[in-house]
Amino acid sequence: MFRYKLSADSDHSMLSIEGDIDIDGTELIEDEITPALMQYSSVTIDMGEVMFVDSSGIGLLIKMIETLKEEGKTIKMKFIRPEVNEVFEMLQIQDIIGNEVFDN
Amino acid sequence: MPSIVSRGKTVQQALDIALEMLETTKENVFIEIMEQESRGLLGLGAKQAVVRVTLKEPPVVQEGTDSENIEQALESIRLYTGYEKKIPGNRIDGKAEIEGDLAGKVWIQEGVIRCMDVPNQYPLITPMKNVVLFKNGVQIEKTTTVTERDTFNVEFKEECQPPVWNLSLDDKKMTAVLELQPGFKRTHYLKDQSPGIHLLLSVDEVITPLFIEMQDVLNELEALGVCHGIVHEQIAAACNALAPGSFVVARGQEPLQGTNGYVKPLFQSDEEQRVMPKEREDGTIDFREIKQFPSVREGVVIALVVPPEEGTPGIDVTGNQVPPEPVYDLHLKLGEDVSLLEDGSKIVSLKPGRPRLFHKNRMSEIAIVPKLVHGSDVDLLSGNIHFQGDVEILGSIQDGMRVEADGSVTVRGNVNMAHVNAGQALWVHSNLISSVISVGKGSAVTAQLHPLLSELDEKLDLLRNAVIQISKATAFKATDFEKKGLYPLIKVLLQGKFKLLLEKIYEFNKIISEGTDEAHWIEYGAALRKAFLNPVSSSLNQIKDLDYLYEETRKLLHSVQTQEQDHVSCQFAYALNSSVYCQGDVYIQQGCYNTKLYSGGMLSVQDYLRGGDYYANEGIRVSEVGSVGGGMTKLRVPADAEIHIGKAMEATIIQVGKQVRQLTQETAHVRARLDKDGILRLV
Repeated sequence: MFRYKLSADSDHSMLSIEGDIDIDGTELIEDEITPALMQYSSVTIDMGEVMFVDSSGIGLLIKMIETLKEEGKTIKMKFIRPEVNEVFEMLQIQDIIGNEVFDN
Repeated sequence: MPSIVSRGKTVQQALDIALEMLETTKENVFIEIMEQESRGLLGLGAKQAVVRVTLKEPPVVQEGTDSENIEQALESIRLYTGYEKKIPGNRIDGKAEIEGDLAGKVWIQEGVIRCMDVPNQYPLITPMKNVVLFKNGVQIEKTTTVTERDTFNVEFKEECQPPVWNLSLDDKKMTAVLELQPGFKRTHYLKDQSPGIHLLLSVDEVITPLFIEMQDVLNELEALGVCHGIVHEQIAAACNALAPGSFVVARGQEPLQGTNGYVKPLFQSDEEQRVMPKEREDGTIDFREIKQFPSVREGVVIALVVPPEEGTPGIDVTGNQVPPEPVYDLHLKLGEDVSLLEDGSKIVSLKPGRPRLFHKNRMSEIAIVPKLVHGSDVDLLSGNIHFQGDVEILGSIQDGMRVEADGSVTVRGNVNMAHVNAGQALWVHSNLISSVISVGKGSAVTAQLHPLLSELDEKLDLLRNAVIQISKATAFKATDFEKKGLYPLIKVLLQGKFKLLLEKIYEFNKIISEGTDEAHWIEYGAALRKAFLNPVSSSLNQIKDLDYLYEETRKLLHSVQTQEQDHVSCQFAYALNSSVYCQGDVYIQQGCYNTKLYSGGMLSVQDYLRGGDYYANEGIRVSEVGSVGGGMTKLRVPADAEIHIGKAMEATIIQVGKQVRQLTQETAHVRARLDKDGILRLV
């Protein structure tokens, strides 16, 4: 489970996640966060406080980013912890959601 | 001239003392009075007389050759040069072997330190490495003087290593091996040196070998129970060996194996019929004419039954008999139209036809394969042909027709847009046009599915490993595996890293659904679907489900690649737009256009392959591949096989194992294979 903070200025939003991105966050991501982010043209996800992920959580994250990208939004992920990045690399996430999400 | 200064109460007294010391008389000396005696007063201040006495001339050396004379002469010389009295100790040896001037020098003779003293000049010795020197009972480590009064001892370290040996029997008690590490004794001795004023003492070493005793070896052999096959020369060699080694000191006699019973055919068997094409220097292929199928009349002896022959037992080194492997009787199954003579030694044909002998496990089966000869074309008039034996068609097989035979099928004409299934062999004297051919067990579908199955086998293994690896990652939680199984993770993998796998699964599924009635493909296809194409209720819940699927894939691939059968082959002149599956070798006398071909054995093409996809399990040999301006021609073999092409045009794709290369220009003498590092080499 995780907590999140959403801050914004006009067009750009910053989503800070604290905790584990896992199956328990399904409703949070699908019903709350994704719709909330729709109103901005770009979002930066601060992953600094994310320690653990499970396979469902990763799936949710991917789905969210894909949905937003379809709507023409720009997504960036920052401050990914090395252990979490290790999992991302093993799954080759950048091939799924695009390299530009990770370019900083 | 040497002189002596002496003192005495009076000059006369001093003089007497001096003369006595010099052992001479007044006549031979000069006398100098250096101080007169003085009485002093009242007994005080009395002084002694001091006299200097100098020898006038050296004494005359007496003539004589005996050692007494020499001694005297030497003594006189000594007297002349020094005043030391001769003291027994490090006496000089009067023998003539010692050369050179010895006075004031030290030398080593026969390991003993000797010297000759002179006053005010002391010879020196220095003990070097390994020399433990004692002078008068005290160890000396540095340079020291040598006089005849001193007693010297040198201590040496003696190193002794006894031989180490070990006698052992092998598991089968067929050999007794003596492992030996010879021993040695290392002794030192002081090196002799010629006289010098300063010698550096050094040692030499002598290594003497220490051998083992033959009796000890014999005793040990007895203790181990070895009584047969003892090789005395080897024991002797070991007892004299200077280097470590192993010696086989006893050897038993291996049993002579017998032969199992078997059938000896009097016709050319299927195995003998297999011929490999020759490659000429220019890269073209030349295969000798494939012989015709054997054919016999009725009442002919077609094979002999050879009874089993027992072997002879051997003897191990402990004297025990070692039985040979048991021999087995022949399991013979008599098939159609053959008969075994009463004495059990001969098999006779009861009808004309093709004799066929094949072996499966321990069973041999022999039969006469009946033959159906069809005098004309196979067409709508004649109908399809199904026959449990051989079929010979003197004409062609026409559009839409089907010929199926358990044995071999021979077609004198063409096969046009038709289906042919032969259980054992297919020989088409002319061409295959837009036809589907299948020879052996398996089918055309197999030809298409096999490469895909191969890829699935490889990728599923990688998928398994990826899942295991990710599960172990520090930041990864496996908590949702229980609720949702592996599928969420696999889904992500199929989106990214394993996108290709998903494509292959779709392709595989499509081919199966399009038409095959072979159970093993259908079942496998269903398993794949349930695992990967079923997000809602995937069969993959735990790792072991993925393991199981991988195992099934492996087994299927293995069984497709190694179908057990007697030799299957397919031969034709030319194929166009056809699909050919053959479990065994394929020989093509001209070439192929745009054909899909699978061979479980070797594909040999006399002339060319232009367009199409060709796979052969044991390798491809072809003179020419590709065409200018033509489409792609793909040649594939497994990793352990080779592709030889006399001349390959560009747009030829070569695949060996997983390595693929597309030629960008015309290349001659291609020998595609994987080297020891797994790199694809073309020439």
